[in-house]
Order: sequence, then C-alpha cells, then structure tokens
Amino acid sequence: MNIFERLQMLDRRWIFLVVAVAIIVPLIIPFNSKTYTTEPTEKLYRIIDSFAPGPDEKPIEKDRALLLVFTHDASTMPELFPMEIAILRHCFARNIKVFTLTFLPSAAPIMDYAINTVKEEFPHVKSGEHYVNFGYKIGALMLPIILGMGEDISEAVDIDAEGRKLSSLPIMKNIKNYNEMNLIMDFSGSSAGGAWIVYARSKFGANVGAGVTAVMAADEYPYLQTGQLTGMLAGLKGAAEYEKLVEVFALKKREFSRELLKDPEYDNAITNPDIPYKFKQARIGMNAQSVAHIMIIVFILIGNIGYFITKYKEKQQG
Amino acid sequence: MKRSIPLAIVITLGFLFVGYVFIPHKISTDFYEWYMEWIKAMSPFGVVLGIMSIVMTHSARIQHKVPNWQYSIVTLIAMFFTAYAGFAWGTQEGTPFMWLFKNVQMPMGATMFALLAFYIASASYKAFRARSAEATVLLLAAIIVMLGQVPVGVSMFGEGINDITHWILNVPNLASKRGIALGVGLGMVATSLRILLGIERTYLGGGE
Amino acid sequence: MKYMKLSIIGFIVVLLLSVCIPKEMHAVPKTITDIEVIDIPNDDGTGLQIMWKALPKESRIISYRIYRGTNKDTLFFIGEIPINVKTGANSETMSFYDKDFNEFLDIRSPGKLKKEKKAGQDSPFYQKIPKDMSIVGPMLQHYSILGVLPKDEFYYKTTQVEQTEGEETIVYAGVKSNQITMLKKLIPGNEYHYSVIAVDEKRKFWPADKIASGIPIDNEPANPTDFYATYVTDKQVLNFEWGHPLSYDDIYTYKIYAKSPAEDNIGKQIFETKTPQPFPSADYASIKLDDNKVIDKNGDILYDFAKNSIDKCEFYLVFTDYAGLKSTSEPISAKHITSNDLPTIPKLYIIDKKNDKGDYNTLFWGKPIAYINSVQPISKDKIVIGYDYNTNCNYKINEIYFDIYDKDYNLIKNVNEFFQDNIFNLKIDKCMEELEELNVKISFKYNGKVDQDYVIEQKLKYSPEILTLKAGPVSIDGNILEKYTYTLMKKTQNNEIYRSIKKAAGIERESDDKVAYESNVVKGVSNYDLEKNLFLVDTNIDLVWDKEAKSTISTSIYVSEKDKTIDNMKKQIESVEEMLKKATTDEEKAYYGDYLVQFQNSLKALESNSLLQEVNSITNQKKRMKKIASIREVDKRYFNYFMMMSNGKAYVVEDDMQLVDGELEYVIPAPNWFDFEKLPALIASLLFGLLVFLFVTFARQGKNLYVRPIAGIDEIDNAIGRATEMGRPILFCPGLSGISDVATLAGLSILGRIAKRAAEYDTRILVPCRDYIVIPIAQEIVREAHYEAGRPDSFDKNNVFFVSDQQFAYVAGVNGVMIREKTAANFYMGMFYAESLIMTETGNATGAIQIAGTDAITQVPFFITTCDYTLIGEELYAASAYLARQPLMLGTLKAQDYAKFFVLLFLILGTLLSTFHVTAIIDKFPNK
Repeated sequence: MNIFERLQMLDRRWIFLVVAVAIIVPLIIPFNSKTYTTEPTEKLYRIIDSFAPGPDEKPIEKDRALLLVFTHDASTMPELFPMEIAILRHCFARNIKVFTLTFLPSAAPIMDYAINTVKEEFPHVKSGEHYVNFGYKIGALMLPIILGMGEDISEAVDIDAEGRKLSSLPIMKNIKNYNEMNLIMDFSGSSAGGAWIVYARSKFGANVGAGVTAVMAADEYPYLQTGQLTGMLAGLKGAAEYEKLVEVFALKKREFSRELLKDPEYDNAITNPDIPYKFKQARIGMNAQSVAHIMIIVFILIGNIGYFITKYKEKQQG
Repeated sequence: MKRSIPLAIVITLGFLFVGYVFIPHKISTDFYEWYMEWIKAMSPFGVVLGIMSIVMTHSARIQHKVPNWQYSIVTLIAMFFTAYAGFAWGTQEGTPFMWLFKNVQMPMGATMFALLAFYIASASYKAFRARSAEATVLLLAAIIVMLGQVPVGVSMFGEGINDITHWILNVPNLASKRGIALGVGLGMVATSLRILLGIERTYLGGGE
Repeated sequence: MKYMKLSIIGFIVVLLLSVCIPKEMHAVPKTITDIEVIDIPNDDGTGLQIMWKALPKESRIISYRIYRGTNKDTLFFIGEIPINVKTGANSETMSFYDKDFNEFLDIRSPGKLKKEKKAGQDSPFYQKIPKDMSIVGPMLQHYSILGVLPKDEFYYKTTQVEQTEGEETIVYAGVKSNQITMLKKLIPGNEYHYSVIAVDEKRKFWPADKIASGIPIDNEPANPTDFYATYVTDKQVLNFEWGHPLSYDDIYTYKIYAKSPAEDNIGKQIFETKTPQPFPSADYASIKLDDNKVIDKNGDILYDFAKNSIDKCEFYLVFTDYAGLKSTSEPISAKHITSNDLPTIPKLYIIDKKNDKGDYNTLFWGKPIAYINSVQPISKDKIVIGYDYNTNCNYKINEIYFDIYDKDYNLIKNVNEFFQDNIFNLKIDKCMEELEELNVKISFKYNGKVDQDYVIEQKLKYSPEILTLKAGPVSIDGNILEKYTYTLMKKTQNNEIYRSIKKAAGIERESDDKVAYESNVVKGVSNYDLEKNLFLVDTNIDLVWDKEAKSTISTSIYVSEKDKTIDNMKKQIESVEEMLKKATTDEEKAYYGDYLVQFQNSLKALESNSLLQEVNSITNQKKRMKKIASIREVDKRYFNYFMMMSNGKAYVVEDDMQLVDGELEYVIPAPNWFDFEKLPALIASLLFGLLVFLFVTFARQGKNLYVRPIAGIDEIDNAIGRATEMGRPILFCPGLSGISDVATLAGLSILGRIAKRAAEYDTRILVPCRDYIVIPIAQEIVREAHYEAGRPDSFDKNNVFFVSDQQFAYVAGVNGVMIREKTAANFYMGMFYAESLIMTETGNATGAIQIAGTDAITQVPFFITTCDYTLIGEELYAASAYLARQPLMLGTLKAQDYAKFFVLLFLILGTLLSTFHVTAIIDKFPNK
C-alpha cells in the first residue's frame, strides 16, 4: 500500500487532530490579516450609524433607538458574543440609544456581561440614559411584548432589568414604539429574526437585522435578498467585519465610506496592543478560521490526488 | 370509531385554522387566541410522557441487565437529581439547579456543537472527490467559497474571490435553494391537504 | 471496563454532592448598611426612591429584594433587582423607584400571609402581599388602589353587596381576589417603610441593618423648557411651542401669560388648556387674535389682549399640577413672521385600515416622497445610489423618475424606476471628488399619470470625510422637509382636548393609529367585605356620550339599581346648590356654578336618553349587560383626528378640522371578513385543491399515473433487508421538531411503512424521540405496524423512547445508541438543525446504511455527503405516498407536480413582463 492509498483510508481521528492544531495555534500566536467587509454587514452598520445624534443634537433628544435581542445561550457565544460587543461599542461610541432584551433565561447573564464588557471603555455611558437593559422576559410573553412594543414600548416592557419603570427613564424621551426603535437585531444560534420579521416587521414596519452562527447563515440569505432582513452578521466573519467598521468609522466619529476601508493602516489591528483583546477577538478567531479552511482545502486536494493516482493505477493494472 | 373521531377533530380544526389565515375579523382572532391559551396550558403535560418513557426504557434495561446497563443508572440519577434540585431549591440564579445548568448542561452542549467543526473536516475530506464533472464543479465551488470566507483567501487571490463567493452564494446557491423551498412549500401544502382530507392517516397509527 | 463504568458513576456522584456542600465563606460584607429613602422630585407626590450602596463584586450578590410596609413590623416583598454575579452591580448606588401605579395584588400573590423564612423567623419580612382579606383589606386605606377587571368579570360575575354607611345603604359590586388585578400608588403625606435584602450566590438572605422610612411629597412640575413663540402678522395668530415634559402625569393645565412692561409679575393669562389625562397633550398653542381680543375657533372672546403690545411683551409658560403647584418658564418674546415663512400643510385623511381585525385607523396626508439616502462607489466609473420612498393609499406609485444633473445642472442621466427596488446604478465620467456635487430632481408617475408640477429636489455633495457623495436634505419648492414634523392628534367624543398620538417626520406620509378593543374595566378599590371575602367597587358603568346634553350617561350594572342613578344625580345637584349658596368669592361661585350646569345637563340626559331607556327596559340582568356592552364598547372607539405641522420652534401650521356637516367627524374602524392581501394565496390554494381533486378522480378511474422513481425510497427495502441479514437493529429518527411540523408528520408516515417492513422481517426498530408528544404517536404507529405484519409479540414499547429535548443532548444520546447497538440501517426523516452532521457522520463511522429525508435546506448538503441516499425537500413529503402506491395518494403527488409547473410558468411570465416594464402582475402580490 503506497502513501496515497493510505491517505485514502486515513483514520478520521488524524483529521481531527490536524484541525485541532490548526485552530489552536493561530489563537495562541496572533498575526495580522486584512478584514474585508461585505454588504450585509456594511448595510447593518450604516443603518445603526444613522441612529446617531447629529453634532448639535442632544443624545437624549434623538428619536431613534436600536434593540438587541439575545436569543442564544453560551454554546454559541464564541461566534455571537463578538458581534454583540462590536455593536454595543458602536452604540456607546456614537451615543446611539440602545436597548437589550431576551426571552431566554440563559441569555440574561450573557446580556449583562456584554454590556459591562463594553461599558468599561466608555465611562460616560449611563444606564437609563444611553442604554437600557430590558432584561429577561418569560417566553410566554414573547408575542405580547413584540406586538405591544408596536404601540408603546414603556407599557409593553414595563420595567427594566434594574427594576425601574421604563416610562421614568430619560432615554425613553422621544422613543415610543417601532417608529422610533426602528431596528431590531436578533442574535441567535438557530433561525434568527423569525417572530420579529412576522410581527414587528410586517405589522409595524420595523427593520430587522440578524446575527447568526455561520452554520445557519445560509438559511437567512433568502430573507436578506427579499429585504425582510435589513442586514446580517454571519458568524465570526460578520463579527470581524463589524469590529473593523466600528474601529474605522464609529470611534473616529465619521460616516461610512467604502473608500476609507481600503486604507492599509487599519489592517494591523490584531498585533496593535492599544486595541483591547475583547474588541478584536473575532478577527483573531478569523485567523484560526483561515488556517482551518486552508487545512481542509489541503485535505480535500490530497484526498483527490490520492483518488486520481489510485484510479490511474487501477486502470493500468486492470 | 377509534379512527373516525380523531379524524373528525383533525378535519374540523384544520379547516377552522385555514379560515383563520384568511379572516382577520375579531371573532376569528379571538378564537385563535383562546385556542392558543389552551395550547399553552396543555403542552406542559407532555413532559410527563417524556419522563415516563425515560423511566420505563431505562428501568427495563437495568432490570434485564442488558449490556451497558450501568449507564442507565447514571441517566436516571441525573434526571431525578436535576428535577429534585429544581423543586427543592428553585431555579433562580444561585441554586444547585442553575449550577448544574451552567456547569454541566451548557459546556456539554457547547462541546457537542464544537464537534461539528471536526466532523465537517472529516466529512469533506471523504466526500469531496472529483468523480464526475458535477462533482468537480461542486468541489471547485466549495474551495472558492471557503477561501472567500476567510481573509487569507482574499489576500492570496485578491478581492475578486470575494465577489465570486458572493456570486456563488447569491446566485446559483440561492436559486437552487429557492427551487427546493418551492418544492418543500408545495409538498407541505399537499401533505397538509392529504391530512385535512383524511387521505393520509398513517400518523394516526398503523396503515391505511 | 467494569471499573471504568464505576468510576464514571462515582465521578458524577461526587459532582452532584459538591453542588450541595457549601464552600467556605469569605469575609466580605453582605449586609447593606446605608439605606436611604428620598422623595422623587417634580412628581405628583406618589413616588419614593430607595437608595443604597451596592455591595462589592466579591460579595457574590445575585439579587437585591426590596420590601415595603406601612408599619415597621410587617414589610412585604415588592420587587427584585437581579445582579450578575460575575460582573457585580452596574453602578455604585442602587436605586429602586416605588412610583406610579404598580403591582399590589395579582395572580402571583400568595393565598395567605407567608414569612420570608430565609430572613429569619422573627424578622419583619414577608413575601408578597397575600390575598387574605383580613390582611389586605385594612391596607387599602394606605394606598390609592386601581382594580383592573377583565370586562366580562365585571359585567357578569360580580356579587351585589349592600353596605350601610351612616344612614345610607350603598350597593357595591363585590369581586373576588382572583377576579381582579390591583395596582397601587402611594398617598402623598403618608409614611412608608422600606428595607432591602441582599441575596448571595447560595441564595442566602442578608437583610439590611435598618428599616428606612420616607414620606412622598407633592412637588411642583419640572420647569418648562424649549419654549418658543412666533407671531404671524398677516394672520394675526400667536403660536407657541414647548418641549414635551418628561413626566406629564401630574400636569393639570398649561397656561400662557403675556407681560407688558407696565405689568408686574408674569402678567395676564392669554391661554389655557387642560391635559387629556392619562394621555400626553400636543405641546403647542395657536392663538387667534381679533383686534384686542383672544378668540377661540368659533370666534368667541376668551381674553383681552392688546395686539400692538406683542412687540414689547414677554411670554411665560406655566405648568400647574393637580395640587395647584406651579412651575414657570423663562420669559421669551415672539418672533414676527408672515404666512409666507410657513409651509403649507397637506390635508389629513382618515380611513379604516384594510384587512385588519378592526383595531386600526390609517391616517395619511400629502403626495408621495422619494429621496436618496446613500451613494457608494462600486468601480471607478460606477456608483450605486440607494433611495427610499413613502406613499399612502391616495397615491399608487407607478414610476419614480430621478433626473440627475451635475453641479452646473447639465443632465447626466434620467433614471426611471418602474419597479421600486430602492437601488439603481449610475455611470459617471469623473471621479466623485471631481464631480463635487450632484443635483437630483425627483418626480412621479402615480395613479397612472405623470405629475410634472410636483418635483422633489435633493443635493448630493462630496464629503472628504467619508470620501463619497453625501445625501443632503430633501426639499419641495425650497421648503426643506426634514425641518418639520407632523403631530397627529385625536380625541374622543367626551373630551374637548386632543391627545398627541404621534410625531411623524416631514418625509412620512402615512401612519396607523391603534383603536384597541376594550378588554378591561378599571375601578378604584377602597372598600372590602371581610365576611364575604370580597373587594367592593362601585357599580356604575359608562354607557354612551349624549351629544345634546354634552354629558356621559352612566348606569348601574345591576337591574335593581338602575333607577338610583337619577336619584343620586338629584342628590348631587342639591348639594352643589347648597354649596353655591354658601359660596362667597366670585371664583367659588363660578366653580360651583359650572358644576351645577354640568350636573343639570347630566340629569336631563339621564331622563331623556333613548339608549338608556332602551337598556333599562330590559329586565334580565345578563341580557341588559349584553346590551350595555354592545353600546358602550362601540361608543368609546369613536375618534376625531387632527394634524399640526411645526418645526419645534413655534412655526406652527394647523390642518383644517375633520368635519362632516359642520360637526366634528368621529370615525370608528371596522373589522374585516377577508384579508385581500392574501387573495393570491387563496386563489392558489383553491387551484391546488382543484388539481388534487382532478387527479384523485383520474386515479380512481384507473388511469395510470406516472411518478418518477426516487432512488432513496427504492433503497429503503434494501437497507432493511441488509439489517435483517446482519441481525442488527434499525434506527429511525423522526427529526427534531414537534408534531405540529408537517415534516415530522411526513417522517412519521414513512415510519409506519418502514416499521411494517421491519416487523415482517422480524428486525428490531429503534425510534429515539426529542418531542414528548411524538413518543405516543410513534409508539402507536410501530405497534400497529407489528399487528398488521402479524407479529404483535415482537413489539416492544421501549424501542420507541424519549432521549432529551435538548438539541445536543439528544444528539449525544442518538450517537450512543448507534455505537452501542451497532445499528445497520439509519433513517433520518423530518426536520433537522445544526446537529445533523454529528449524527450522520457517526452513523457513517459505524458503517450503517443511511437514508435521510429532510426539508431543512441547509442540512441537505451534510446529509448528501454522509448518507447513502437523501430525500431532498419535497421528496420527503412524497415518500409516504410513493410507498403507499394508492391511487388517492398518487393523485395528490401528481397534482403537486402540476402546481409546480404553474408556479414556474408564473415565475417566467413575471420575469419577462417586468423586464418589459409591465409590473401589473407583480403589483397584485402583497409586498411583505
């Protein structure tokens, strides 16, 4: 049996081992790589950025807000958490009003964790003024709340995670329903956005965006094409793209432009010690993904070479 | 009788709900909401079925000492202890139940999910062979999309690969998906219709 | 092997025990020491704020529980603030606001008094306020309580209770505690006591070291801000606008005063309006002047005001609350403008929203709007322009024309968007930086005609900041639309004042207003009957608005009490008359005089209203209530609408009133019996039904229907055969979704056929389930299959079993079954998610023949790579019919194929037509 025949019969455990090494090494040894942004991510970034108050507008007066819905537990955190903190970082940097909500008990700690992680970098950000955590609401209330927010958010949600009446919070000034809270981002490991598209979008015209794991992203493309989803972050790649957009535009307080993204100065983020790890974890993760993808491609190629050689030999013999 | 009463219920309710889809009137929505309340009240009872099934299957295994019967003990202990923890100390943050959830359930779920990456690698290694012209196209498309998804690919082959990936995902991929989705939609309607009209009854148990 | 198993069991036992044995506590503070209760400023005197310093992260606190009582011995649980253990509290100081109407007694309240045991036996802490009347009854006097009753409970299910108070016998409606949800507000001036318990990770309770007390005080409202005034000289109208007060609940009136230099203080009042409580008001005033008078819309004189003093006048806005406390704005002066400075307001139209339950009105105004919102380059000479448009039911947009000019107004391109997909491409000959700016003129073809006079203009300017063209403001005839907003208002028949329902941006053209169906009745609760265990509420219910008497007609819900309403009114009139006699000041006289007129009108209405008479002629209690419900629930849903346009700085233009025959027009939405948006769906369904009927008939007549072979289905028998030969069991996985999923039903139908074949061959079939409801159904199917195959003895119920409803736990279970039982044939039929590959790859490793069928499109590739045969999408649904080979089943299959053909035909037709600018067919389909 020659080496190619052996490769044909390779025990899958060898493949597992190589994949494990390919994923772990880039995570331990970081290196720079360029992040290319794609349209669904850019679209989402731009709509969120349009919620930012103008230069002479008080943030409190702004009549636009964003709702982040956490519909996942810890198992999909590696992919979804970087998205969540990238978006929160965008909101806090640009003083965009942002709300968080979940119908899963296991997502409530993740929600807190995300807010606190980002808040550390923005000392001016206050709960009730720049953001409100609506907290965990039981699943049975999902439909009543989604529909109720179409009329009056303060009434439908009633109290936030800190036990305060929503109507008494300054952030709620000029925010009534989906006309103002115009974008809902649903982060989910399975099918994101479902109920929001059916109820909040078709009944009240709210925009719905999705943050999904890469496995499920393919499911969401049709919604994206029909416009039922305003934008989408697909897996770690989407998170990495958003991280970059926030760094290039939001932190520098300028508007989106594709031309600016080409500037190579933004490509050394991973080794840049000034950027905290938490805000580049998706990009570091993408390195691992890069290596793993290349690894798999190499495997496929080797497999095919082996296949052709064996076939050629069989032909010669036969 | 055993067949006809359930069938009658299925057919009547089925048509009522088809009606609900087309009738936005208050009467129709009120009926739907009323029904939903009942669904909410009824569905928890299903849990009993699940628990009964687990207990019966595993106690039978222990009783007959079938190979690996010891695992069944673990299953039963784990199930009853988790349930007991929930009843005795509640399910809020800080209770043993929550501890089990966070430190046993969640990491084990995440581990199973993470297996996916390894399995995808081994499955693609074995499956992607350029056996025929179609298989070769599939193989090439897979390689391009994989490269297009990661920064390294783009650095190696230029931004063009991004556009090609985008095109593959948005045009041939979506087209075929829509084609399948169309078939699935019609298949669902046809199956539902078969059930509504009482043509398909296998789900009621047994043959025709 | 044995030791390994034992050690696994041992490990798990240790794991479980470690949960229960508490770890050593660190010496960190867990007791709150600095609780403080303060009055909330600018409120109506019903709010208190409880504050304390958050315990450090090391205390591992998971929540703070807040308790309140009217005496220090009994404090009831009123709320909880959860804290993330890992990160600690979000802020240093924790606050809990006990304000507004919030929960007092509801379905979650315990039946009897329950001590908070974890806080210690002799602590004053109790769980929520119990439903026990002997405890909750006496508490009613310490709060103002609102009872929310589902309407049917109040209409039909109350108990008539008589109580003697002094000489009088009063009839109340008695309700049980499970019929009512009660909300409470604190009473100004009363003392309330609070304390907080910190709960740590082990759910141990750590009560604060003291009980803090506080008294809510009624304060003056917050000062008015953003107050502006303009004087439209040619129309003699004074306009005012002010910022929306953050808390409007307590504001009773808005007043405007004018102060000439000669006057002191804040001068003379020139305007007053009440707030439409509990709703917000529109924050503006438009005052008509006539000579030296302020007049109302009917021309009646309201106040004296010298027009020529406007120049020198200073204006003040005063908020007054229910207790008479006032807050005054900074003085401002009015800016002189003419009506040319103001935009023209489009007319407001109101229609019943189509295709709904009958709880929305659609409000719309103006001609359609389109505007560019983004410009992005795609290559050197090509840019993508994104646009948006708003329209309403008056205007059906056919085409939108974008005429694009360069900065010198040389035409670059005319773009016709005959199908509005919100995007178009543009070729440019210069780079954007050199272009500097683009000028866009937007016009429309709507309702089949091109409107050439209606042109929207927009400038796109190059911005070096973002290296692309930036969309500027949208204008029509030089008026920038973004500057203005539309304030939509509505009012009921029994209220004079409009409430603000929405502020729509200047580019919006349509808005829906919800007119909810009545579901609850709200009543004050201050009385109770300990003996009968009932809360007592008053028996009156409003029936209808009497237009002539301008008064709301009320009546009792009890037949026996129906006449007492009139007697009560007479009594009230007598007492007011007496008050009037005693009144000394003019103010008092006017106050009581107003009331007297009001009551007299009400009495007249009570005596003459025909609807009331009709209701009272019904003697059956239930029938009478039904009649009352049918009258009042409709009457309350009539609204009159009004629209105003302004820029936030008192450039105010009001729309005309919505009138019909000179009277205000009140509209009510109606429920619809058919959703016309779904007409295409209905037609398609009926056509499909027809096809099924046709082919079933053909099949019955014995026509041979050809159905293409499906490889996966043909292989099912072989797979079962192979398992039989090898003497190993078969695994059948009915998918991960529940019984309501059609895919699961399809899967179960296939199970029936497979189980029958397996029973014939006497091969064991294992069915692991994820959904509880699926288990008995699958058991029944497998059992029947065994009976039919004549082998009832070989059926074992335990072969159809529940694994787990957790996605990945289920997968682990199924994988275990595959490996341990060495299944020779695996079938996956139904709905699958991300776990599919983990199962099939394991099956592949164990060397089983695998056949999958799913409609989960994303999982199909995984199945194809790892399974021997895969039924893709519809093939799953076809499988059962295919296996059955009955004419009826095959008929539906054939119909399905033809339906697909028609859909395809439509697709091609639609694509062709819209390529040639014919969008008629596309337009027939709903947008969303």
